[in-house]
Amino acid sequence: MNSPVDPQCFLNLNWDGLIDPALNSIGEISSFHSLYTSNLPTNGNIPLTQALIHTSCFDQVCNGSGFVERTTRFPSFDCQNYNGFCDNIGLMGLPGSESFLNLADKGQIKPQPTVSDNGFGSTVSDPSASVGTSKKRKSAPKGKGKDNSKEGDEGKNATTKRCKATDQTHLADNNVKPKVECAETTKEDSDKKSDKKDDAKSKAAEPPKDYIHVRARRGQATDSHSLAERVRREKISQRMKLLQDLVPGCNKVTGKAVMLDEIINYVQSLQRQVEFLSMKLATVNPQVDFKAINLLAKDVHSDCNPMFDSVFPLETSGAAFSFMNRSFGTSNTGMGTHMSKNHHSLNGINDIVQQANFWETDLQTAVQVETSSSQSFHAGQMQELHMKDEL
Amino acid sequence: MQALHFLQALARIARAAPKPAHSARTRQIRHAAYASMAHSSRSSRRTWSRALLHRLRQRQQQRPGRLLTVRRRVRIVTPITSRPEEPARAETLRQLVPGGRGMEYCNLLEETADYVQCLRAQVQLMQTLLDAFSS
Repeated sequence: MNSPVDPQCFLNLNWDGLIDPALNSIGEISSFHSLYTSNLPTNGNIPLTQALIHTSCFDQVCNGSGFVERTTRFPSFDCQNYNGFCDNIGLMGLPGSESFLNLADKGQIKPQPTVSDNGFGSTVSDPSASVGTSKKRKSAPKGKGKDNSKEGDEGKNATTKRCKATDQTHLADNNVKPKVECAETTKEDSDKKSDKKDDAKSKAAEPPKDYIHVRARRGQATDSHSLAERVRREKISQRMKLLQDLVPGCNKVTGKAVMLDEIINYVQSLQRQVEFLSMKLATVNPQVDFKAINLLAKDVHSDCNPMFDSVFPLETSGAAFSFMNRSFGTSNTGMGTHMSKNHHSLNGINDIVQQANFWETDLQTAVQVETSSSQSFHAGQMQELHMKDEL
Repeated sequence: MQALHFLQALARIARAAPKPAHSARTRQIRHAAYASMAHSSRSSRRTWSRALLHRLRQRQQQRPGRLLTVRRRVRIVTPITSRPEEPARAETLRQLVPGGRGMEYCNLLEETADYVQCLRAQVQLMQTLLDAFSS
């Protein structure tokens, strides 16, 4: 390969390692993002707007695909590790620890504003104090590490049922059913703090627990079934929101039924479009230069672009090609040697491309950049781009 | 990676002889499109991509001349698909998204999101290729 002194190459080598794991956790994605943004300005020829376009798209991708990735990895709403955490500190029965999981899925679900009561201790010691909120109180002597308890059928109406200090919970199977903890609420900020702590710690140690810890919200039924239902409904509504962003024209539509219709229509239309386009490609294809396709495929391959996966276009027409352009603009490994091979064959095509008024503005600026500096490394990249555009 | 796979497949199709049958070519290109969608590394872990690849391979195997002995493997779908909480259109969605029959509603929505993303990318890719070819 070339001399790896080029800092861009070096950074890219780092990226290659980062990309796939980056898709698996938000934390790494943000670090990757910072790497990405830091790298772009060094590649001085790319216009800044283009760089900004990259990062904004990537942000969108992060939010979309990252979230989906994460939800697949943590089917229990990111609260898998809660139990391990609690085991570590053994704070199950204590007030401060009961604060955790309002399903605070990294802010995807807003944690419900918990009741800021006076505090656990006071209410336990003073059972006559008006709990008011109809939450079941967790009995204090339950200092076990493992959370194997499930609230019974008490407190169905969520009205003022008071549980005594005796442990009234009973065991349940903990495979798939969500664990319910009706715990006394503490102050809200301590909730959030321990949420964050919990998340941070849970990322470090990942015990393979599989249940969801849900806090019963104020004024709602604390039955385990209803809580499970609520969790499920929230999941579904989350996913529907995601789909709403993906499907164009769904923003005005409210209601799950109509949106589902829209989604179905959209999927059907996309599939029909694929059919139609493949038909058109079939007519056009025999006339195309086969060597050009091979060259394009080879170059696309040799550029070792794992970036393709992450920089994914979510915008409108022409984005697919422009994303190829972007990745070529930023990925520099192996381009140099390849450039020298293809350089001579591409000049004729460049003229055609320059005349074509077909592409987006960022590409056009890139063309101007290319014409100004013909022999530079970056210009070679742009020529590569144009070759691909031509195809 | 999706683009790469598709381009390679296109090259292969173009190389693989001037088959005059337009419909055959269309079929091949469509096959390549779906295959490249399923092979994109972002979606290779998805249920729909596996189901799609499986379906494509099945079709490929059925094709060479076995007109009479098309074995339909009847998949007995558990009643998970007819849960009462699901809206009525969920069944349609399951038929659309590959591999949707065995999934719960929750996962179905997630898979749909990913599938829509890939489909859109594929459509854009093909569109730009078409424009490039025809200009």
